[in-house]
Amino acid sequence: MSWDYAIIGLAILAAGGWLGWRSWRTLRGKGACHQCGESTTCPFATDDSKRSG
Amino acid sequence: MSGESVTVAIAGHPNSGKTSLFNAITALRQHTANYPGVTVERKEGTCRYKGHLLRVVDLPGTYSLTAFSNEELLARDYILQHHPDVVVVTIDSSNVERNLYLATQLLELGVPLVLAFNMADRAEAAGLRIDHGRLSALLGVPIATTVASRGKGIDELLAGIIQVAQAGPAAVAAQRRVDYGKDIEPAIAKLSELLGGDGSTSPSTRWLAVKLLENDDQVAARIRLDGRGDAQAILDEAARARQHIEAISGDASELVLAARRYGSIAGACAKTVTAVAAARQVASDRIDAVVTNRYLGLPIFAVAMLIVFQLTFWLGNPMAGWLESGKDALAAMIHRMGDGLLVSLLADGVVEGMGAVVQFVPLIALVFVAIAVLEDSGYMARAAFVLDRLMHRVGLHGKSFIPMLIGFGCTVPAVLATRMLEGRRNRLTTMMVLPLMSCGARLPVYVLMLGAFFSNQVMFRLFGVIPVTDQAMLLLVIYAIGMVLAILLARLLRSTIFHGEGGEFVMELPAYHMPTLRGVALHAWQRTWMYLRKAGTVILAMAIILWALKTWPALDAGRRAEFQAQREAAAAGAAAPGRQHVDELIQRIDLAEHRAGLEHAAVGRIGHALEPVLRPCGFDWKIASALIGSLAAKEVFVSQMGVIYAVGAHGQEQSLRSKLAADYTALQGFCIMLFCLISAPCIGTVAVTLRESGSWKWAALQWGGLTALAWAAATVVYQVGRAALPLLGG
Amino acid sequence: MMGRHGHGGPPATGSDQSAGIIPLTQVQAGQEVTLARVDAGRGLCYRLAEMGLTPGAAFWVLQPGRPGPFIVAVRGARLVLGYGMVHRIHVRPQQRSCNVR
Repeated sequence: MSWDYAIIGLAILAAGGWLGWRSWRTLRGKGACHQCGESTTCPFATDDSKRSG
Repeated sequence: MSGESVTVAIAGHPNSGKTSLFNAITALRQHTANYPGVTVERKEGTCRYKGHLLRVVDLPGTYSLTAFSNEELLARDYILQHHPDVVVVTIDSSNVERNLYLATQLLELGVPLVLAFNMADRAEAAGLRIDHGRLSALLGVPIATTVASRGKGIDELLAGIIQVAQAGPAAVAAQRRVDYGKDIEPAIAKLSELLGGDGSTSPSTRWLAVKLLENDDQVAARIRLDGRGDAQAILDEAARARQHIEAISGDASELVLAARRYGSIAGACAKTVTAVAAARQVASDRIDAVVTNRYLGLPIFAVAMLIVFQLTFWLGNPMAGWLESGKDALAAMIHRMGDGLLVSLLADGVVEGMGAVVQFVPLIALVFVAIAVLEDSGYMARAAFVLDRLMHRVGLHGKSFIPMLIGFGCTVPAVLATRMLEGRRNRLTTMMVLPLMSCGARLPVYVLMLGAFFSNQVMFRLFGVIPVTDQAMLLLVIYAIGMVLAILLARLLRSTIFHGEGGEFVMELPAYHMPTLRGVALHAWQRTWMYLRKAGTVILAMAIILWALKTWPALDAGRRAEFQAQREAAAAGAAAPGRQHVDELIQRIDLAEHRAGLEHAAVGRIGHALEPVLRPCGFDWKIASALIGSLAAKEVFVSQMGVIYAVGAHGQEQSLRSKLAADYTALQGFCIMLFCLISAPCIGTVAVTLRESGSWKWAALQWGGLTALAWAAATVVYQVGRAALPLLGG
Repeated sequence: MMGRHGHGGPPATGSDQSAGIIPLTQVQAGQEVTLARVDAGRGLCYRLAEMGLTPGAAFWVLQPGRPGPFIVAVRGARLVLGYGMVHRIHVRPQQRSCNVR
């Protein structure tokens, strides 16, 4: 029985953690954008370091 | 040529098939931006040809290499700084004169060039005959004919690239340059001398001289920095030369040079390009005359979208139904495996939550296919024109329609596309209203609501033949409301907070194309894949979280015992009405327990807390709690409704749609759609608005303002509807 | 990029009329014209030029906006000109018209 709780707990932590981390990154303007199919034409999708200069 | 690898840059007009060429060479899958003016980061890929490794870079589509636009600077800077071994210029064979303009500028730059006369099939079909051999000789540049979308002519092109790469400076020396005429060439010669022709080819002194005559600020700055010869003397001489040109012609020097370039191109084309029949273009213009007609344009667009939606529902509804059954079967299977919390997480959380979103994939994919067809055929540009004219009538100038059309797919790149707009105020206004152009993520919500509350009966027949159902019609209505609100809101913002002029743009209308099956499938698949990926990540995570929120705090033992007692009582009274009736009773008790559990748990409490605010809109606590989740992504609303309504083992006897239909009215369903249409954009949009506008103020205004408007609209519609419907007998 | 006008001198409507120059806004569909003058900064003028609308270039109007954007045919391509742009363009009508009805 306790295995169940362990798995559930992990799943919740993983989900919450991942969402939080991703939201944080999105708000800070970093990271790949998986939001939509336009990603290849979307400058938002590349890290600042990769911008042509 | 650096030993082993050859760097190739691909330049060309936005609509010349440049990206198809890039794809054909590198076998990469990249999406073509169909809207010229949207800044595209450069894309890179590789290709192996006869033992050579080619590193290929796709430059942003540009019309020329001036210093007046960011994309042009981007393309130009890449060539200047990275010195590609070869530059391939994509030429739309149906439009040689204009497409060669960029090539002439590259010729001046002194880079080894190869011309790819693309879309050769179309040109031939249109009756154009091009003497490539002669043109090649006139320009001193190898020419390959290609049909990039079908992968034809690529070998020929690659062979040409390698040949030029290996020839190096010799290839450049063979290239011809534009002769600017007796009144300008001496000035160029003099400037080149002053610049100290040191034999370096790129950038050639001729190019620098021409740029100085064009009053190019970037080049002037560079000359000052580089200290090439006596900078001030050079700049003074350039100014003198410009004044001389302007005095003679009455036009600015850069315009004169532009005109000379075109003149030179026209001369070359006159000798090599013959139009046997211009029939195709006239046909295209005739279509345009109808499609952009001031009276017919908008109705045609509305009808086109209506047909799109109708087809989507007609083909997609059955498929969505199958997926839903599959999901239900899966959940039922998991339930049979046991009774514990883990089972619940998997079945009621993961499967229901993700399944609710995934089941709409066929419908979403069909919409994407339709949009791809409209885009690839070139119709979308005409639609953009029609919308722009509409917006102009209500006082909105400028090319805001481009970001708005992109916003139909996803608001995030649409906000970024506002970079192309001139005027900060114009950009901010557009950014504020963009979320109203209903994005793809909201589609599952609409489809769910439409499926639940509207019978998909045929309302009328278009042109007497095509059946239009209430679902398709209402979907069109929702999109139309979004657009109308966007325009009205923009107008309001423009007249109160923002003022400004606009409308100073020039855009090319792409030629009509027959969309290829491959192209459409590719575009549609890419977007569908993104949708699925989102389902597998954000929505999965949210589903798990919501499951947790609906499971805890759990009903205490006392209340559960109550429900159990009820079940036993029902089973005990089995004798009288019969077994079936008992099952139903027990189901209802299960449902009641489930509801109690929901209300007791976190999700219920949050929902109930919000309910007072949302009750005027006709929403209850369940809808309220689902709306919160949609902050992360709009589709989550659907997923959350799925999770909330998953009643454990009995959850699969009814579809989510029928459960919703049982609980709510059509009016409420419509208000949900309305609220979803207008309200808070997802976190991705907020983030990008924050970035592009530069301050929290605008992002907050967008989020807050739209949500308030959503609330107001839903409230008005709900209250009025509730009052009016009994009167209408509805 | 603002700066001096792209074309020599400020506009003088008096001499416009005698030279047969009219604003593009007054041109009908199907009418062929040549570019006489653009009242705009260097950037806009050059933008038009690189798209094919160089001084003296011949083009014709397919869809007049009035108000709103125009569609014109120039050097084999179809261009959409925003109304803010159309305001600033002055042309000389040519005798020929095109049968694009």
